[in-house]
Amino acid sequence: MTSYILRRLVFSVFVILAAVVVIFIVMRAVPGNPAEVLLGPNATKAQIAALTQRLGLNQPEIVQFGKFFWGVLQLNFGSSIQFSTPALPLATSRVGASAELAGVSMAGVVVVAFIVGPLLARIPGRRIDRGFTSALMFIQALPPFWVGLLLLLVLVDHLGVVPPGGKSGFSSFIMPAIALGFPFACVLARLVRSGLIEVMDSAYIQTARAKGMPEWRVFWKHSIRNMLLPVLTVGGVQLGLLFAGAAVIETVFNWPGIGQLLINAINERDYSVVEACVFIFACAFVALNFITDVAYAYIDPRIRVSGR
Amino acid sequence: MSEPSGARPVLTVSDLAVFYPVRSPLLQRVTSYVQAVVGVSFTINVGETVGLVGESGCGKSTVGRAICGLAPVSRGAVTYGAGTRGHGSDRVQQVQMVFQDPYSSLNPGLRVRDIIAEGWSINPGLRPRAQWDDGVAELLRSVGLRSEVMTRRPAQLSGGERQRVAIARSIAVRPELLICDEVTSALDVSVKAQLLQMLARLREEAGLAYLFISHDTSAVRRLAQRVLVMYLGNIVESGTAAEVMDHPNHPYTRALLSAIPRLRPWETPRERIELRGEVPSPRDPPAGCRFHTRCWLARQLGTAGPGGICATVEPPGKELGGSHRSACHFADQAAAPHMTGGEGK
Amino acid sequence: MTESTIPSDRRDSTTGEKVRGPLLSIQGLSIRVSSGKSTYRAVEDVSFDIAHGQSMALVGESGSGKSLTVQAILGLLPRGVQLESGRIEFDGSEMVRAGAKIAPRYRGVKIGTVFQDPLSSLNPTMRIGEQVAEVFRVHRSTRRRQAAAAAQESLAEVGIPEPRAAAERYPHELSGGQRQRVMIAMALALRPPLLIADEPTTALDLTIQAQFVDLLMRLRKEHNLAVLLVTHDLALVAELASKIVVLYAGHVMETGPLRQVYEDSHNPYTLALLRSAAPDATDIEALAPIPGSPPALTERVAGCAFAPRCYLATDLCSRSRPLLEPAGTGSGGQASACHYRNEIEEPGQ
Repeated sequence: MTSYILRRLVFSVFVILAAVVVIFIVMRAVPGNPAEVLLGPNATKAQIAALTQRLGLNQPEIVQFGKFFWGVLQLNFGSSIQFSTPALPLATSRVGASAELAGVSMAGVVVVAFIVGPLLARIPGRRIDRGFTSALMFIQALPPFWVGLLLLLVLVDHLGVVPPGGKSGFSSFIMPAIALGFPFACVLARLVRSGLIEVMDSAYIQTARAKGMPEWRVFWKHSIRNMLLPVLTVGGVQLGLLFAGAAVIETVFNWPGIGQLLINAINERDYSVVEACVFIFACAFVALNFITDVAYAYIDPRIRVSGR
Repeated sequence: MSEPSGARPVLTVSDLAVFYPVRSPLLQRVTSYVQAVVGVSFTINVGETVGLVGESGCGKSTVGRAICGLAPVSRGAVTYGAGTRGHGSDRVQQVQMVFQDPYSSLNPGLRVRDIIAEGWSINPGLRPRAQWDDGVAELLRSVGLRSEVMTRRPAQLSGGERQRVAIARSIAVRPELLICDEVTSALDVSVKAQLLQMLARLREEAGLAYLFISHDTSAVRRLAQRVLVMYLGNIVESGTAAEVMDHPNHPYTRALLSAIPRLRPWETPRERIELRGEVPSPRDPPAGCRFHTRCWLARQLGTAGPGGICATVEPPGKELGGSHRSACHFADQAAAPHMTGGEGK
Repeated sequence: MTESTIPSDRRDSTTGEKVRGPLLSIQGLSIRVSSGKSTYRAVEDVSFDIAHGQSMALVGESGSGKSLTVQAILGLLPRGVQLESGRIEFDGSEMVRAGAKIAPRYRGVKIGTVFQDPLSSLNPTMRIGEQVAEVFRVHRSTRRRQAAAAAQESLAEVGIPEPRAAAERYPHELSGGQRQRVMIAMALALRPPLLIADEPTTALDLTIQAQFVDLLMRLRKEHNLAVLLVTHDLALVAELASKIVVLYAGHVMETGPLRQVYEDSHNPYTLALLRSAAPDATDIEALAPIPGSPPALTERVAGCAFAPRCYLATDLCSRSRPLLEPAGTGSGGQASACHYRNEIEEPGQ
């Protein structure tokens, strides 16, 4: 088990470094001289040249990359152009709010999926089953920002039960958490359903029943653990997307998270902040994958022996 | 091993070994090897059926796969026909394989006709496309199925029918040798019997040679002319079917055959030889004779202890007359009357 | 189980002595399968008894209904399959009624079950010890530590070496033979009077199969265990059972003491089965497989189910289904469902 964890860890580090390289390339792929864009259309050639010099943009790509990479290793992404503070600490200060939102959203998603999923798995008729599954897929396909706006309309304008935006008390979590989580809840519910259906047909479930185990025990002790694997696979990836999709939701609901910071920075051409934010997203993704892998091995002992 | 004069070998296996590397968990360095097959040699002639028997983990399936190129050959050689040939599409025509599980060996998305004709699409020289339907119908008839079956999909067929389709598919490319890997194991009793009869008829009609791999010793006794018995990667006994199965010599063979349940056990007294202990891991096989840790004869003779011959020296294959060979230090003495069947039951 | 309170006891009419009734009694069992809009009868009018300590084999090929019968006894019929009619009595008390679900009380406690393919029949993510121990914890409310100890005892009893270490392992870490022993340990942990073994050796090697037979015979003797062996392996049956019931397409074809049926069968299907299974024959010509194949669920016909493949069949056979009636001397309860049961001779080549 330990060697498995170590291997995944080493692999994760490599992925992050690769992400850093990609960040660099993508940023430099943006057409035009960043200095020009920063100074606007009325800048003089001298001003552009001066800023180019200052930002180090006239040096060869390799040198630029070298400096960038070295900076990253020291966790230095430069300074924010808007706020003149170091970029990375700025980004990390916003992670908390996003994480909280993602956490609450996830909790809701899991609860919903594990209530709806088992219910759907027990539906007797084929047509009803297909009807519900289609309904779930329809809900999943709704655009989050549209749902967000709908929520604003209903819950704030009409009912006035929750604050319109920003992060305050618990009630302020409700709308953004729903808007963020509902597509994922639909996906997870369907996964739980199909995972359960497959597991409940297994030979070892029949054995458990033949041993006289009561249904609740068959479900909780025998089915759940085996059903979790495919759920985890997709779940882990989806959670990462959740984090990324937070950018739009945070903007709609004026939530002070890293997503909102990123969108802002993009609009303002604040390159260092953009890089820092993307770096944090990459790290979050990789960390989530790592946790998923470890959870895998914990749940299914057969996976631990890869290589044995 | 003596061969009938004038017979041509379709397959020669010499000193075949198949090792699978075992890697350390962290750095993936190779730490040891799973010795699936060690030093196996035999020949199969035209139209001959050789049975390969043994239990789980003995390596018989691996031998079959190595012959087909589905398992790596770590040492030794596999030769098709009379000369060294047989790579790529050449081999497809020399050797074909039929597998155990009829429910997963056929592509469920294809119709039977396409499954059988697939070999021709790879080797266009075998049969022109215009004649495919006729060809498929003919093949289906030769395996005992109606030609209407060709429009069906595997899901609509029973286990026995699927195996027949799998066999039809493999003989479509006119191989000289068909490797049957546990083809009857997943089937019902009467379907098994039907399939065995069909295989016997087919080899007459098409001049096929078979390597019949099975743990069903009775099926092997009926179908095979020669039999090889494997244990933990080695051939421990070989000879004609009558020699090996009616007069087994090697202690393992004797124990194995004594475990065959009989239809009317009250007719002859029960004399089962019990094998104690578990089969050792092929990653760490015992020194000397690989069977010595469970061998009732070695225990009886006291040669399985630390200094005993069975624990230290690998037994050579000893000739017993005819084509009968047994890899046991005491092979010649086993025929003597005072050597009983060990712990009878 | 105290002697005097067994409900199925009765008094022998001639001697006046107490005679124990059957442990398991199946009477007129019919099982219906609904698929889409149609329903089919997969099992029809099956009856048999198993006495205390007796081992009985239920023999049949795929589609004979033997697995469904087992599931009906256990109360584990899948969705869409129902008990249409019949009674199942355990030790005199009614166990399963059509529609009702009384069986749960018996599972694991009075009836232990061993299934085919121990690798897929054991939970892959649960340790062996826990899978055995939970039988004690659920049915006897034993505490965790004591249940674990009891589990290790059960493992030792079936011959698993180093039971304490084995209990910590997962199913995929054991060998096939050991897994089969674990299944037996789980089934017999609470010392049930009846063991149902559904194709227990199909996936196993010959020598492991032989070990299984030995183990079962020993346990039977030690605990006076009754066994219902469900299989298509006729030779295995000969090793283990004293009574046989032959099923074909959901009907009982023949029943009686094993040796009697094997040596002097009065049913053409049984005879054909015996001939096609003879493992002692060395000649492939002598195999004599039964031509054709068993009818699918949708192809069930009026008249005798085996008539289309039977060498003795006449018009009568296709029209009217023969009932199970005493055959030959009828001793030991031998009965056959064939119009020509008393005229059967060995079929010529």
